[in-house]
Amino acid sequence: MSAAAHTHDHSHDHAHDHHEPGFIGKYIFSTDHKTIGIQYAVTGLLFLLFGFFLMLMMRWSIAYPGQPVPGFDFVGKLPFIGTIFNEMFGRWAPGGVINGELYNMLGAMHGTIMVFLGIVPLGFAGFVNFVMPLQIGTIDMAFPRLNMWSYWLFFISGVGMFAAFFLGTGSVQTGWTMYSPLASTTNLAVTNVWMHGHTWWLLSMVFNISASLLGSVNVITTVINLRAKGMSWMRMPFFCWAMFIVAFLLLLAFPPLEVAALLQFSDRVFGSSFFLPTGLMEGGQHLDISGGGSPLLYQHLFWFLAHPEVYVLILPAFAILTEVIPANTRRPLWGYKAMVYAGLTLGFLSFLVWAHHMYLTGMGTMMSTYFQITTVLISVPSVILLTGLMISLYGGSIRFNPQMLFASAFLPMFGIGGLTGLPLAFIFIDLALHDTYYVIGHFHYVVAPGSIFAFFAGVYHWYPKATGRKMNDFLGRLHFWPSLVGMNLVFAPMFIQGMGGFHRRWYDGGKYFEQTSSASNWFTELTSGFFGIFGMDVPNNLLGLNVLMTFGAIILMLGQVPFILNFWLSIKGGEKVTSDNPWNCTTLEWATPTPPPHGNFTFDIVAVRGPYEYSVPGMSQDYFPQWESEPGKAAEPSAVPTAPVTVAHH
Amino acid sequence: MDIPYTVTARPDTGLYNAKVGIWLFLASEVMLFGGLFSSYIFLRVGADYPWPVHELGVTLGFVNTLVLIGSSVTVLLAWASLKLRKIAQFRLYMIITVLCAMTFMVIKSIEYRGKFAHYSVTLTDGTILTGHLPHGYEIEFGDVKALNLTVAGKTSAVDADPISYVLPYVKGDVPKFKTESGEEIDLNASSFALIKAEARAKAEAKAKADGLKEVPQWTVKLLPTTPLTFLVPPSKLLAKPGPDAKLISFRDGTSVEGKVINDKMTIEVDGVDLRGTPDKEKSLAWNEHYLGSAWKNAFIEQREHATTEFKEKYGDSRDPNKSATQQKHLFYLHIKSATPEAAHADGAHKAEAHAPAEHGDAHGSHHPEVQLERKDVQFFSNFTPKLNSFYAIYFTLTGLHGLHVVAGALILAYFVIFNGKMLREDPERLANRVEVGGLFWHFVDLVWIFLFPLLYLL
Repeated sequence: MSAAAHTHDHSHDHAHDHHEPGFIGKYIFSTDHKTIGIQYAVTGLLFLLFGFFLMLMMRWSIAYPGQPVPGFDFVGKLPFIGTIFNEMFGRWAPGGVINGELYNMLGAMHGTIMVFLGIVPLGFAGFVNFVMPLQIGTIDMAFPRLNMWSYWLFFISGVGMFAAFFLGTGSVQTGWTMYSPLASTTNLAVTNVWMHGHTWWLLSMVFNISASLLGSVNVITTVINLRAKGMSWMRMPFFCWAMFIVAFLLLLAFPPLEVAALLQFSDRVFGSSFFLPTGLMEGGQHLDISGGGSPLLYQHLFWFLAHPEVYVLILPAFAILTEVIPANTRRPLWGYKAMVYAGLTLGFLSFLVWAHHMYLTGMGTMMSTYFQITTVLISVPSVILLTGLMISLYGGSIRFNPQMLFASAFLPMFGIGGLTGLPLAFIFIDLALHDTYYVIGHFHYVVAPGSIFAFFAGVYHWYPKATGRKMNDFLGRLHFWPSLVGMNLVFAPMFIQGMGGFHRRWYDGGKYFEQTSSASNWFTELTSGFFGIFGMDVPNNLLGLNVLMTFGAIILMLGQVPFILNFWLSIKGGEKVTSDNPWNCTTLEWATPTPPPHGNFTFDIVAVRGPYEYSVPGMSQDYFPQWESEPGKAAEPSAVPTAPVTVAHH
Repeated sequence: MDIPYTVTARPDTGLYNAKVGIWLFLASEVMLFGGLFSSYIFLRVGADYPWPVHELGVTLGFVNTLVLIGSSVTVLLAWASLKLRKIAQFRLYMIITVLCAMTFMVIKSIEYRGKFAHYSVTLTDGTILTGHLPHGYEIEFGDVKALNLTVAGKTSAVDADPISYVLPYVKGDVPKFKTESGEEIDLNASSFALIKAEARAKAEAKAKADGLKEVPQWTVKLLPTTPLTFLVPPSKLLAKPGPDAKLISFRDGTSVEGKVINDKMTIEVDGVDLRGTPDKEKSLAWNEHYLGSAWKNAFIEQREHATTEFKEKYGDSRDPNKSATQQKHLFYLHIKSATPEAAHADGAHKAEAHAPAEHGDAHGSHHPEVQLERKDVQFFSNFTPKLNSFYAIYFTLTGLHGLHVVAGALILAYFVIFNGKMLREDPERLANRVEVGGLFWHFVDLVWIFLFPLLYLL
């Protein structure tokens, strides 16, 4: 990077024993939290892109079942890439037509990749590693070497998941939830169970969980023990609070998933019957198993992770927005304390709601009622978080740069996702909507135009700190608007289809389920009419919406091109920042040189005030950084009476 | 530019970094084992078969408990010695700790080994016979007419692998085969490669001619020209063949046409478990060509004795149906001799005293040998995770715990072997390491303190 020389100078001013690592130590097996953060973020972005392409193929198969995917043959004929492509997908899709098996693989892997290899690594690991140590004013994470291991274990898990496509069996086909007994018994007729896509999925999950364990231990320890002088708990930016809570969720919720994976692994490899009931038959024959296990046990173990996981996906989004929104409204974050307490409540309650995914399993009305109550309760802290961000906009003079566009789009999009979740909390409505597209629409509104928009905002916001250059503003807008339109075209019709009874796992998009798909309404009328203008014959019923959604997905795809160009080209070609604090922010990460050198700070950093001191009345500038005792002057360490002791004065 | 608080504690939290880290790690571990313990409860409460109780040898388990508790004490002493800078003592205690860990693993592997060699056979009426299979168990399938090799289509995971998967189970010499076209071949890697290539070409040609989207799976038929018999363990087959089966399918997709010659299972019975049998006195086990009425009488006698004794001991104050131990005495016959007379002479007392099955020491002469018809066998397995969910969770819990013991021992051994330089230059840092490693070791010990009663006693 161009600012390397600059970096070098600073670090030498400060630490004479510091020796500069070589290329491999600096960029590959790096122990520096910023490099690891960037590694995580870039890997996460690449996996998001890969997961997105899996989704595009699925959407095509849904809208045009039995028709070859455009470009499929073309890619298959390319040298080298074509060979890989054919081994991954081509052999399952003769002539480019996706068959049911491939569709199931795409579905399972889309879910797995987006959740475990895309959003968590980018949103949590990427941002927390890069930003959090800077924000609390320390030189690195508490355990830098474990941090490096965390990334590389995650990398192995990613490779394992990806490579499973090349196995003879292909990848897993049983949904991202891997429900037993289906997932314990499918496709066992192989001579070597170790070379099975499912086995690889389970082992990759074990690596992934180990990675997240190391990461979360690191984050929590760093926040507890390495905060700078004066950085008391209530002076911590909400970003650090949210990530701190997420780390706890990862730490405590992932082990039960590991248990589920280990037990399912045992079922498949050692022939045990943890999740297999007595008398289980497949293909008209009793399986050679002892039985006596419980399929419900799998779901309990799985959802004990997977519900807190939902908050692992969304809290980093709030974390980022609480930095982006105050910085661009030039107003303090509204209700900082309330948000902190809401976040803690949310984290606690998220462990008590898991079985609302299981209303349909027949686990009993007492259980269902209990989980219905906790589920309704958890909407309260969620609303507090969203309300805090909304009110923060009030009265601000808003700077609509790309990150703020994404941030402001997040609010209504997450709102839609959250509000459509409320009916699902109630048993009687969920019985009808369970496993329909309504559910898909609901959680995609939360994580796609929700979390992912927030992550885009974060990328635009911290890019200048990481590279010393800004991303292009025009390309940013060209990225934002098609993304917003595309997202809504993909996910809004899902609510209508879901209420019409569309099941989430139809690989032909419901083509052969005329009874449920022939309904029409004003929306299908509109869709049919719109495509009619272009001479396309789109049926005026719920099936016609499939075409609209695929159309939306293509817009979304095109919308990502400016981002990809912007992301890579701005490293060398972006507008150089003129100050270390280009957005005039208040938190400590902007006190470092740009990009921050190994060791981060060039002076003894001290936090002397809260994190969101924007537009303080009577000041000449509209922000008052945490590290300045008076505008433009860094606080001396001696300004804080008792060295590292942090007593909250609130 | 060092990271702060790696050695000294941060004043306001009172902890150095690694100590915060290890407690968080242990919290995660608690959730891991918590998930497994919860699974145990879930499986036991929901079990629709008699849950195995008191089946594990308590002595070895108890010895292991003492060994681990001892090592927890020595690791603490090692840390204290290091804090006092008594280096020789520190080394000694550390070495004792690691030796304890090794002892634990040795005892564990003795326990495991016994279970792998011991079998349990469930008959179709729910009776369970336990014992040893002196000859293992293989189905003899002979009079082979043809071998059908499956050559995979484009999307199929199963591809014929006769050379490594099927031929090892041929009894005697591998015969010569004739292809459908009449050509005589030896089935080996090179001839099979040719056959496969030919089949692929045919399949592709057919796909093209019929306008199929997928290249179909193709079957190649080989006819043996000399007599061919297979001796194959059922785990290598896709489905259990019935006594009249004319076809068996290997897991690689190869199927064999012929007939079952012998599928009898020889077992040296060391126990009869009748808890799952509806009518205990009409169990299949008492058939004359199995254990016979002499053993049945021994069983009835033992049951009556146990009933009287229970009554004498508790009167009406306890319900025998609610005592798992009593249920075991009532419905479980432990066999220690080749004929029932010997057991009878010693009285049921002795049989009871040895009630916990001790897996492992198998000597054919001490047990009646029974030839079971395959049609009477519903399910069989050695004492591995496959047997039932108790052994599944037993192996998962103890296996995972064993991995923790090994990991902990390696870490502690590393501190004493490779950290000599740190010991000389920065003993306080090493003491912190030992403290953190010791905390982990205590956790490993604690898990066992829960595991022992849960699996061995309850």
